Amino acid sequence: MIKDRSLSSLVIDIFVYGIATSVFVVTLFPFLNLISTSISGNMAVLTGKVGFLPVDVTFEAYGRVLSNWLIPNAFFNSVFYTITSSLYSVVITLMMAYPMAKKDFILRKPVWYMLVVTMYFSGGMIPTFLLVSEMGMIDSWASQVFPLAIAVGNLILMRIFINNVPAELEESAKLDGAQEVSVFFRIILPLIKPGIATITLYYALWKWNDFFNPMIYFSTYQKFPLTVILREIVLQGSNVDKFMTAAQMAQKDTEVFMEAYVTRLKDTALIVSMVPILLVFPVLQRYFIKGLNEGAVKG
Amino acid sequence: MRRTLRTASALAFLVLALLASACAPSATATPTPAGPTDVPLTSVEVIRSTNMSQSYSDTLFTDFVKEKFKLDLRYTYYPSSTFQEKLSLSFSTNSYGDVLELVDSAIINRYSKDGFFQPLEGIIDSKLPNYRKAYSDEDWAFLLSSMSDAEGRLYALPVRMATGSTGSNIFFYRSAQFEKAGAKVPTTVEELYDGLMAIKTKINPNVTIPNQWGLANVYSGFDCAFRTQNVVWKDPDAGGQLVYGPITDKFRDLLIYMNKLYESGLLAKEFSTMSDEQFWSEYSAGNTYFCWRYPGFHNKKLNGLLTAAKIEPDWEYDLDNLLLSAYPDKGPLQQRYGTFYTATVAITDKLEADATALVLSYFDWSCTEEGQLFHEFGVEGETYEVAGDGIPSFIGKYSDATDTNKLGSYYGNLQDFGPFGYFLVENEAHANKFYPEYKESNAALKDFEYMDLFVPIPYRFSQAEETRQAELYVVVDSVSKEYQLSFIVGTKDPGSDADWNEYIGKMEKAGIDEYMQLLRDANARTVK
Repeated sequence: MIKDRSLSSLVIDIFVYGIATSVFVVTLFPFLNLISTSISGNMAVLTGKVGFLPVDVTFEAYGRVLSNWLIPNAFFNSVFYTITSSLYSVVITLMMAYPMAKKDFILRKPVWYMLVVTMYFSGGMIPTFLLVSEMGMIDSWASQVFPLAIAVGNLILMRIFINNVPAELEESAKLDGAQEVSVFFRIILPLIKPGIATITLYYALWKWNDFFNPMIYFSTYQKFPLTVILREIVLQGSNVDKFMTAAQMAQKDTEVFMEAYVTRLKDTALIVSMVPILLVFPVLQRYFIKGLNEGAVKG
Repeated sequence: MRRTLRTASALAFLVLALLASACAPSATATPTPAGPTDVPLTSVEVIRSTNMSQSYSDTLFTDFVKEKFKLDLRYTYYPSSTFQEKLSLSFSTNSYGDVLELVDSAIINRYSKDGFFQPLEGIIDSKLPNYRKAYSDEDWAFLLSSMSDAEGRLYALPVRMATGSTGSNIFFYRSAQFEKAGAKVPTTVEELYDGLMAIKTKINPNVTIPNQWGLANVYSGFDCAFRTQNVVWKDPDAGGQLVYGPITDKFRDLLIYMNKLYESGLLAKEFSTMSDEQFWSEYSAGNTYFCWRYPGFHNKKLNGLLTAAKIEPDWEYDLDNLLLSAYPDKGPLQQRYGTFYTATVAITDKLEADATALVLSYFDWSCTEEGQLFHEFGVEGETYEVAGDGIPSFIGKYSDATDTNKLGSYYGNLQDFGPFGYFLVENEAHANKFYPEYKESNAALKDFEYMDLFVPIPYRFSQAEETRQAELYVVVDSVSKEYQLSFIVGTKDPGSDADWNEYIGKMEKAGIDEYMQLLRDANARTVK
């Protein structure tokens, strides 16, 4: 690649880097404040002394959050729902995408139209709720896995990936006696791994961040994922006392520093919930980019 | 090839197995054994909004009700942050429960229009005599007028508070600091101003009046002194008529005073936008010298903050001087809370007649002395014992000896899991014991006139009127707030007739007269 060293290019670079740096700073500083507040002392938080660096460092809030059953339980639920529903969705999406990529599949077009329609029109909340209810999935983890298993956008992406596999490979496998199932598992699947990684990440992010479905389908606190519990903590901040054990509540300074406790516990809960995505995303990011590029360039 | 088929079959089997296991009926469908007396249990699904809960389930409570009333209370908790959405969905999909607990009366009345709730006004005397007995005739008439719907039907039973557990907020002072500055501890708003200015000059130039929760809260305490409110209320100085507080002369006096505090640098510049942290930081820095809160607050919070900041704790209150006055000839008003919460209990149309009768008998029993004890303290000998003074105390693991300000850990658990948020009618004797500060301040304020606070003013609108008043409210409220802010910070002069008349003119243009007429007419239609 030839590097453009002209003055106009330099100005544009400075402008672009300037914008990027500003966005980085604006995004990073609230996050730093969140971390600092979560590990600062009550008095420092209450008197507004905490900026980007912690004051009177203490990890007490982390002890409170992690020793209470609520966050670890919700965390486990989120992990469980994310893994099971993502795996199920990926399997179902692949099973759907393969025939949809077959040009000689007679029902390909009508089925495809039916699928695409769902991108624009959904069944609506109440019919979906009634369906899930009739299937006995209310307050069950199944409500997070089986309904809404396929995102049509991901299906389209997978179809593009499968279409991009050279037809000759498939034909030669069939000449050697392979059936469709064998072609799919032995030929197609290994060649679309980047695509699978991409949609797995898409599904995982969707399920991890999903708030609405768990909110309407669960009615037991023990089953709620982190998203619902976090919303409860953040929106009902003044009731964070319920988040503390009776012994913690009985501590003399709890009443005095309630506002500081609320802020620190909220911030700590947010940090704890961010950790998994912060750890996983950099590892899987290359699949994101690679998958998108493959789909975009060849599609 | 065979391996591939095996893999595919295994995957298909796994998916089917997951689907089958997930859709299996839940264990709760199993009928509950009737128990030794062979009287069948009646299962009742209770929907309850709750905040985050401990990992705790009080079977002691539900077992007792099961045994005594043959009622199997099955609680479903909706998170409070999503309560309205879930409730709405449950009514839309016919999946609502039999009883709703601690739900705001406005929500109950909204759904009752579609027939989801059973009317209760006709059965109060026969089925709920103990609940009715908890109210005086005057209070009951007020309850009916404010809680019933446009047709006079009562669908929701409000939680009745003891008079000893509520009362007016009061002023706390750092009296020693006023005296040190050569000022007297204030009894009037002008003395407060003079005292704060003396402190500012002689002791602390950073003295400030912080504010939290926005513009409306900045008047707290001062509104009692000026005998006004910044909302629609029944003004005793206007013969108890409904008035829109912010356009009255008394409110103008209040705005002039607030402007004086602002101009002199006493009222915090950020008073309308301060965060909780900013607010409390002024208290912990020792820059505040008076506070308007509930009785007992100085020991729970204010002195603790000063102690933590290594400042000599000196917050106190004087029973002879709990309120400030702006009009010494008339004196201040004290705040009066309703004798009931707007949180209510209601029975849906799903509950059959026999089950309804059983639930009502349980409700009514809960209002007796025995029922109150059970709902507040649990089971005698197991969770509490009655001491020599006749007042119960928690025992064993239910007591919390480390904090004498709280009733104990069981208290919190009852609030989370007990029916009615631990009582339908609060016991007066217990309230007097556990809230001694309210008892003390209520006695000291008994001769002061009242300003009703958090008490819903009853209205009966037609559909068209309801829509119209809501439209007018948005405009009227917006214009009023804009001018209130301008008057306080001095961009408009509340003392200038021209500016005040401009404000009144804008309010008239916004429809204040039509708005107030709608409210007065709708209020006049309520049950007297």
